[in-house]
Amino acid sequence: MTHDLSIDKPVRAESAYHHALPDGSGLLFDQTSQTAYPITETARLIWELCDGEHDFDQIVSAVEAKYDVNRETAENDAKLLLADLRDKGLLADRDTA
Amino acid sequence: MNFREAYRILDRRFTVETNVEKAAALIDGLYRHHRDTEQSEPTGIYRLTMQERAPDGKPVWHLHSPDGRTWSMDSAQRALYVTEATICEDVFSLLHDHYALHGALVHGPCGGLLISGVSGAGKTTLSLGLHASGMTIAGDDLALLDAATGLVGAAPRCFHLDDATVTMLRGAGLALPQDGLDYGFVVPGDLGDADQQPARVTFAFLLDTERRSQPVIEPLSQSHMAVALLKETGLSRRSNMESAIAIADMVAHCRCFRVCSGSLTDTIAAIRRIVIPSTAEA
Repeated sequence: MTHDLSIDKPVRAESAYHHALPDGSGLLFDQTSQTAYPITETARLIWELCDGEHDFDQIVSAVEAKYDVNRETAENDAKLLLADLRDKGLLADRDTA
Repeated sequence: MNFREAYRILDRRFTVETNVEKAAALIDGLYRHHRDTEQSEPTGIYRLTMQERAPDGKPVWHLHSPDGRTWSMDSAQRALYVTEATICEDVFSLLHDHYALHGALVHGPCGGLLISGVSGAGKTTLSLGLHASGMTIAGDDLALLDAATGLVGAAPRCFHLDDATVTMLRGAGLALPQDGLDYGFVVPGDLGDADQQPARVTFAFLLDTERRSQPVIEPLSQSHMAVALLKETGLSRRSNMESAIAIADMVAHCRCFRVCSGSLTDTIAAIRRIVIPSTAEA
């Protein structure tokens, strides 16, 4: 299934657990596959905005505002991460969110 | 059986019986901090026997485990290795309140150092080298994370040292007992009265299998360290999710690094500069 990131408001999967760490990174654990994934500080910001309230543009703007990156870089980073999270089943499918 | 000693490690009780005094002494050297003086009847008996095989008179060793498994071995080295590995597997699998982490525990001046990495990465060599440099090795290969306190203790294990490692460690100034080397059974107690108290791990090092001419030590995120440790974590009665949380809570107190080793001397010096900042200034 293809997702139009420009209108999508991503939502974290119910099976996904996030553990924030003091160095800014985070641990994502998928209870379905019983698999843990490390995420960076930037990825953690994006993950936290996957609450069904923020769309792709708002997520990119948040990354752009917090980190010293241009819009294009922020867009690419967010796009790659969201695609990776979907591939790993860590985001709820839009139809079921 | 001539020699019998009962032990208790965490909630596991077991007894070792053998007809060979030297084997009894070496095994007791490993578990002596865990002697079980309260055990009235022998529990979970590991029976290690040596007999002379007819007609050539060569020794043959047999190990019988409490659950009825048996092994036959043709050397004392092999017999001790199999006995220790079998007890380790039985005692430390499916622990109730602890997670078995694949790593060596070294006590440094600022808390515990956990040296982790896949088998063959050089955990034993580096941790013994750090011991030679003035730190204290608590245990090799297996560390036990207490889920309730977050403290990490060492599981008693013998060091598996090949000739090249022994040469390297002697070069780093470590005195290894010839007796233990002859039997392939050097244990932490041979290196002094090792500190067995569980400690808060403040530094975690993940050893890469790649070797460099000079050591390369780079910061590693706590989440990457947690995932690496989780992959190397043994069985527990807790779920994987509980393991992930316990390990994440533990690394939350650590500065984490990835290590590509250079020469042993250079790698020890590089780690000491991180763990003991005054070393870097000197």
